[in-house]
Amino acid sequence: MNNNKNILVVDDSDDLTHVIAEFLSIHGYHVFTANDGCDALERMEKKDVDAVVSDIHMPRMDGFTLMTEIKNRYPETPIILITGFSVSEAKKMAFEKGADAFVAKPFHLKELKNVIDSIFSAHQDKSELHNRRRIR
Amino acid sequence: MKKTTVERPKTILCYIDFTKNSYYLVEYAYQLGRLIDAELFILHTVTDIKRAAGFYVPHINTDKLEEEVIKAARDKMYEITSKMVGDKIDSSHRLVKRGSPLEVINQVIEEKKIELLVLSHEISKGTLSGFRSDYAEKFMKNATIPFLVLPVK
Repeated sequence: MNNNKNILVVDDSDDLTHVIAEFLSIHGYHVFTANDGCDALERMEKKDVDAVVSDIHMPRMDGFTLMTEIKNRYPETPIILITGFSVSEAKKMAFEKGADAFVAKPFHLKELKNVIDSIFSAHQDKSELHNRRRIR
Repeated sequence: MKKTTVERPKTILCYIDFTKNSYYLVEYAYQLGRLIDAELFILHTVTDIKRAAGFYVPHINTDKLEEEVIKAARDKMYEITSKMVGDKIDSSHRLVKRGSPLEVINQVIEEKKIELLVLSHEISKGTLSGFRSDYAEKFMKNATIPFLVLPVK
């Protein structure tokens, strides 16, 4: 199921993005990384991205602004926000602004992967349902 | 005719990066090992994050995350070897090590007295490709033992 799915991981911490990239790659995802929102949008112009995992607190462009930009430019792309700061506030704001999922730091990589898997699975169900309705 | 000094390799190291070709590589190395009666080791490397980056991340215990990566890599190694050759490769011969591929390959060659390296030139996609894509070419430049580069299937 994961084959050929491109995930963009956005965080200003290189070692965190790398460890997430390594874990998701083992599970068959193609993972690309960016260090902030601006960098992420540049990447998305060049590559097809199936889902974005982004930290909220980043220099230049934060995760919320990035999410707004992505929702405008690529409305179908799911976004998972992660943060360790003021979790309940951030979570509330993330869903208000349209995040598909929210993961609080510290997290287990498996937990993050499960969230990504379930988002893709939900998207697949949705598109299958849509196709069935079109056939009828 | 001159008597040959070339001997059959008694130990094989097969390096896999978990791209699709890894399944073929494991099967090939195993069958080759059987044909020439050689002991086979399979190796995968995970990036040593601390060496690669070397700084603290607030809210995240990178040690724990690295443990998760290593566990996932061991599970994947088991999945690939089991699928291709069942339980024919002993767990002590399925190696998952931290570090850059080239360094670790050379380290294992020394430790296990490897006489033939089997690897592929497949370029993994994504951000990790920069770390992994050129290991076959790099090894080739300073090869210490004979090696076999398999085409991507």
